[in-house]
Amino acid sequence: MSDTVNLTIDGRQIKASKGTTVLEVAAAYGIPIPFFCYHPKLKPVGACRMCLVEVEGMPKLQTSCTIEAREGMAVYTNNEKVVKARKAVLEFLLINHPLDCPICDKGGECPLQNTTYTYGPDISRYIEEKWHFEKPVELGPRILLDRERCIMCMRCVRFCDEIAGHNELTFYNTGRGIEIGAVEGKTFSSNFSGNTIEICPVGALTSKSYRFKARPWDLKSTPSICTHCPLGCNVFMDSRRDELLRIVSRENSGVDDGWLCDTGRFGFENLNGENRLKVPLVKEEGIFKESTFDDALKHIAGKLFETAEKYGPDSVAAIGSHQCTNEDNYIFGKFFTEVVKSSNVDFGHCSEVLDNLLPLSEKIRWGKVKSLNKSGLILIFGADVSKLVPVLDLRIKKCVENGTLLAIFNDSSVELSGYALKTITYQKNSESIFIRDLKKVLSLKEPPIADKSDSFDVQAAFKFFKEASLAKNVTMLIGEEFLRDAGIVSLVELITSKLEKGGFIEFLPVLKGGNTAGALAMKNYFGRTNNTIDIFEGIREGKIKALYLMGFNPLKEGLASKFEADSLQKLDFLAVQDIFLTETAKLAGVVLPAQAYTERDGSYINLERRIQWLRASEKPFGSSLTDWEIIAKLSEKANKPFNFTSVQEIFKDMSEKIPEFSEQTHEKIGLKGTFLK
Amino acid sequence: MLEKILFKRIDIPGIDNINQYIENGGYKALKKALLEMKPDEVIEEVGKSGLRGRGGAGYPTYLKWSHIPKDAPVKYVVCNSKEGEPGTFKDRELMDKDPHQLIEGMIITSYAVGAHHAIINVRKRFAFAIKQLNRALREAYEKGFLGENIMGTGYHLDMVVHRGPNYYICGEETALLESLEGKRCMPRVKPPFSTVAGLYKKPTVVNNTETLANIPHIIENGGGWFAAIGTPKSTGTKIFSVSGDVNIQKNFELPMGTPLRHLIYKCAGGIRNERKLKAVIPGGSSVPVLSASSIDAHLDFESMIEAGSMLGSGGVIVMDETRCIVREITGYTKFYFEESCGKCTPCREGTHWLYQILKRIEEGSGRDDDIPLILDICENMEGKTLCALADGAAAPIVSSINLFKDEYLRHIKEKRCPFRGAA
Repeated sequence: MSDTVNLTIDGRQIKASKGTTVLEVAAAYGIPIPFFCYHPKLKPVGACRMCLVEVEGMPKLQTSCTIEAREGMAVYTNNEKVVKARKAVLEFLLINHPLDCPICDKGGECPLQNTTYTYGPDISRYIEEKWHFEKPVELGPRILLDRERCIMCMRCVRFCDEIAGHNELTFYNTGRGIEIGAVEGKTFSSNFSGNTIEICPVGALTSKSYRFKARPWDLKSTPSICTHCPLGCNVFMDSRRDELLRIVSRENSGVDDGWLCDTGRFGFENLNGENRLKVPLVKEEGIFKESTFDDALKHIAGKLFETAEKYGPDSVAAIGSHQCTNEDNYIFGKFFTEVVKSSNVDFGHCSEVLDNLLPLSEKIRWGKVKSLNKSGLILIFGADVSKLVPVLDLRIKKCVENGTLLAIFNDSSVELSGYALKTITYQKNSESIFIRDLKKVLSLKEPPIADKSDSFDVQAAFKFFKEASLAKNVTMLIGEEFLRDAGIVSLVELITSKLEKGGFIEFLPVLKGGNTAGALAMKNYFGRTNNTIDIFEGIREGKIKALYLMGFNPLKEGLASKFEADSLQKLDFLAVQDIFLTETAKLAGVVLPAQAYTERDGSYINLERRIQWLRASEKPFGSSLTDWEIIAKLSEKANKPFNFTSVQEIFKDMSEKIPEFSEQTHEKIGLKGTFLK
Repeated sequence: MLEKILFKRIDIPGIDNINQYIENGGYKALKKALLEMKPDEVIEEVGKSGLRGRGGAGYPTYLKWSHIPKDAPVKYVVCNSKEGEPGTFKDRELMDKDPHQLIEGMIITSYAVGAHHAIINVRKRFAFAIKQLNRALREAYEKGFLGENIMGTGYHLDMVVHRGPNYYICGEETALLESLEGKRCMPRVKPPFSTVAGLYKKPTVVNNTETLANIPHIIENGGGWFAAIGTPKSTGTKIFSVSGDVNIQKNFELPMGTPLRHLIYKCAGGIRNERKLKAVIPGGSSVPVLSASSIDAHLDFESMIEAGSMLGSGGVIVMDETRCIVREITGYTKFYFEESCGKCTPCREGTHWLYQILKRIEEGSGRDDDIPLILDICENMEGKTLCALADGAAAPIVSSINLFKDEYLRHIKEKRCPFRGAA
């Protein structure tokens, strides 16, 4: 049987691959068919009836979104019958639609508006009273529903059911009175709720925060990336008069598949809050006084070099961040290792994992997000993907829907557990014991005998890996705790030896932070010893007297247990550059205002080692400077000026010095990113 | 006159009890089917009978069954006992009075298509029918007609009653399956058809109560016997639920092809108060209206189409000369507007729009261009939706305008309903 079929659309000879719908075939050939309920990522429902076409031999018009292209089919998308039906559907859609386009958020980028302009009737024959609903309805914390504008395409409900798997939206009532609503007893609080605003073909679903703020044609769209998690979803940052007003998705099928989580979509709204740093602050007698960069940096340089002179350069420590750009971290590392000449330099919170990550990446391939789609088996060790990398959770759910097997090894039940073929739970904080015992189980020939002292269900694990050995193409997602344990390398090797040969076996590290992979690359370049943990040990012991933090907040929730606040009190001098007056910054002698990710440019590396470019979309807050600019200015104060005037220059220098970055150019990265070597 | 088939035993006291049912020849067909016939022979026999679906569409029953893939591991048989069509009340009587007849038919059907799960989907409102069916199912299990190893044949079947929502749309085949799956009643995209991907995406036979109740009789007496009743293309008998302005409003079982006149004037005792007949809706409210001049049309699938209507579910609604056709049709349109599931645009918006216009005309605010507008809206709805609800809403409107246009025009011209006295 051939995989392609031949058909005609409006008399044009067309080849299509089997299984594609007429609507998709037509779209591929540039033959326009209007639609509302159809969405390429949702299952077709044939509800709006906008995409009706005539198929020769079929008495009724057919919805082109639901019928598959067949051999010999003759389709008409524009004959008299179809044109009349289209006009009719638009007339039906508009009779009760409020037509409040002049004040509607969607106006200007509204499929209903656009389709009406192209295909619709120019007058309405409707003289009755329009159907009225009270409005708006609050569906959840972020989304408002205008039921009068809704055209019942069901995309939002289908998104919740089919993509997010949260089942938070449903229908109420029948006939003309039908309406969308949150499922009884629930609110629409899914972390993906914002996507429904984007897929809504009318202005029915609006964002509480963006509502009535701007018109689309006044917005400037900057293609950028989200930096909230290690996935780096591609976004458009839409700003008006240099003020960022909303973030929308910019589909990159290899990264985000066109979706965003609410943290990424709405997270920027907190950036201009009360706590945001506007000007440099210098502490005098325990109280912060507003200062200038010039004075503050002079003060810092003085303190740093004074300390280095008095106690040796290693008494000065510096920690960059997994949230900063590569350029920030690079110039930061350069300054502290080459100018201050300290060996106590790190970038972020988890450089220890390098000791296992590098050997691991020699054993099996550092994977690609897109490979998940082709994986027959996905193993997740430790990381709660739904919380750490939300949009990746959507991809995994889709994979499971398409038949991929999923197994989760975690200390508790996580959201994806419901999708897993097998979930094996171990005790809290016992990853090392789990790795050790799992290795034992995997080396057995016969099923183990269960024992009370087992830290997890050994029999289930044995059985699972026996069955899983048939799976082809495997991706392992490995969390931070697992990557910290040296046993992970041999465990992965052991698992690999059990698996069917022929397919690919890959891993992806799941580490907190928007640019953790980049931070690790910097650490690898500037020297693997003296990690953040060692630095804090040095502070406790009194060996380190001065600390400079760039975008790193050790007291932040989740990290605080590792890096105690007490140690920071022991320092003679602490300088912090950040965007907020964080708990850590409050302890500092000097605080410098840095720019947020919406205000600056630079490169980020995501968990699959894809390097992507961040682009500024709004003006800097207060007198804040980019992290690298602050360091460049600091180098001037140290009389060892770096002659970088732009982020591109730093990038060029970086790609010449760091092997992993070699041959990378700004052009190569483009809008979709490119992979590191 | 020919003896009855479905109503043969309906008036025997205690026929709803399994012993009484067996004593009167019940479950004989089941024994014959399971012990003497192969599943394919059952389908063949039903094919010979020419039995067509009694739910409204008249699709050949055996053909539906033969679409079920033989090798599918899981299959379902679902009885559609929603009976929501206005003017139809036949299935309810069959379930209330003779539940075993339906259960026997369903066991034979399940055996024929190789299903091991059967579900009777009854609307919640039919509380008595649900009680009767549940009791009858218990009896059938006790007698070994259901459960494991039925009558020593090794065939097993489980059957349950499902109390479904009362909504009209839940009687639509795919919406019914959605509701069985615990989802909101909304029709699905077809294809795939239920026989290929029905309940839980498994091959499913969905038949109407009356259709399934015929099966034991066909097996017992042979397909040829059944085919000899009625007309060549519409075989067997049909239950007609007669309502409206007649003297006797009840179900009548008659051979297919019986003249409408016989049903209304002989069986139902003629028009109430010696009035004249004005119009008949012969197949439940979703089919086109017939005027009194069609009184000699015959009640079978083909003749009804010839007369300009459809046999539908056999719900015969009779209207006498005092009825205002605009008012009647407005009432039906209100029903469709309220019962539209809201999924397809033309149906959701169209039924509501039509209702508003018709109501306006009946209340004396009609406009000159309302009639062409109504007809155009109907045309824009018909055949443009997933299920037949929109067609069902449009059919009585279009046909009544064709037959009683003067009456509509009088409403518009006189700005009042001429049947309601001076405004």
